[in-house]
Amino acid sequence: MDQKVKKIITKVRKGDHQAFAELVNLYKTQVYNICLRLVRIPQEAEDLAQEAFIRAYTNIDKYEIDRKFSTWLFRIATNLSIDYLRKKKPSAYLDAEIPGTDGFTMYTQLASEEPLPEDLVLEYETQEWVQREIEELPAKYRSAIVLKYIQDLSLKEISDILDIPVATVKTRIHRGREALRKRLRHV
Amino acid sequence: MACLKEMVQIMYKVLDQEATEVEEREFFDHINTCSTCREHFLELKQTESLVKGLETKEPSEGFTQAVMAKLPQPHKKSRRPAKVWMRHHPIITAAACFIILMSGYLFSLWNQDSFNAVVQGKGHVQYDGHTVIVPKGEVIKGDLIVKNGKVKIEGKVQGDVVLVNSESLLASAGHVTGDIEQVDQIMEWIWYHIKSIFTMFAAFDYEGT
Repeated sequence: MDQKVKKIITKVRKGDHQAFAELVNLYKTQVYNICLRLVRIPQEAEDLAQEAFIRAYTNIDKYEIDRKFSTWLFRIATNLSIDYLRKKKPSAYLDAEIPGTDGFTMYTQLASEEPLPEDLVLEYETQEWVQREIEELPAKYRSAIVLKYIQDLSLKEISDILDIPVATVKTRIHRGREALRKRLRHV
Repeated sequence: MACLKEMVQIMYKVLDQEATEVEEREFFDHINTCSTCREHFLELKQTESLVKGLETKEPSEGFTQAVMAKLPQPHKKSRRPAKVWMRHHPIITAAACFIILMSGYLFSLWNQDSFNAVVQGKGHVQYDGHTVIVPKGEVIKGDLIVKNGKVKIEGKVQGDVVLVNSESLLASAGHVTGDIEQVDQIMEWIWYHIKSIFTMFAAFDYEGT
């Protein structure tokens, strides 16, 4: 795998534009899922993932070939997503009361969705709920949790991606996990 | 009961699969008797499995094409190996620039191939077409330089006669006190220029002292 990736990168560096498509195909799912779990909105995640690949392409000369490419790429994706979250204006919350009304929220304005088979609804709802609770975490815990549990990366890799010491990664995972536990314990 | 902080630390180690066998045994013995820690541990386990249970989603079908369409033009670097080479050999590059400019300058001088006669010093000459005539009885105190023409010396030149692409029709040693230099080849002509530059410096030097 690593040898294959290195070969492709060498090709890209020599100006083989099309070779880059192979890299995108190899990593698009992982990169997309990192962005998706960090920002939750599929369309935004897709844009951020594309941007991450474009930046990887334009900076391919800066990538040190001896290091793991995925670490470098995930770092770009994580930083872009966190920057995005930082800049994003706080969105209108559905359950915020509409000013000038008495107890009306945006929920009451939404048409009820098509009914789904019951177990599918449950599964869908659980996923939605967990995703929302992850989103409630402070960004620094969220990135550590996403990289560890969704990408299944080692502490060392997470420390390289986030550019923080392994001990700090551990602390963030512990705290993030504790915060999530308190939110998710009442299933 | 509030458990020791140490027990929580061991719990984290167990979850992170970093606990030793001894620690692990100690921990599981403990949660057999302590319901608070047992619950805490099970909740954390559940949290992990809920988060891990999030499905991997696929990006849209046209993802790769969309990225490829947005990429900037192919790398410039490989297109310009000369630029890279020059960056690696600055001295050779500087020398090449110097030679190109210098030869351009000399070539343009050489190419001014119209007839030209200069008297560096005092004296008068006559012209007959492209022939320079130093009339009888005339004394030129200085050098006579003729380009692309002919020279007829009937008087005297108290100095050098330089003939660039030119020929002398009549000149005996008696008429010219200095040298008669004939410059026909471009290399000689360049050599003559370089020599004159040094002579000039030497003259300055002489005046200086």
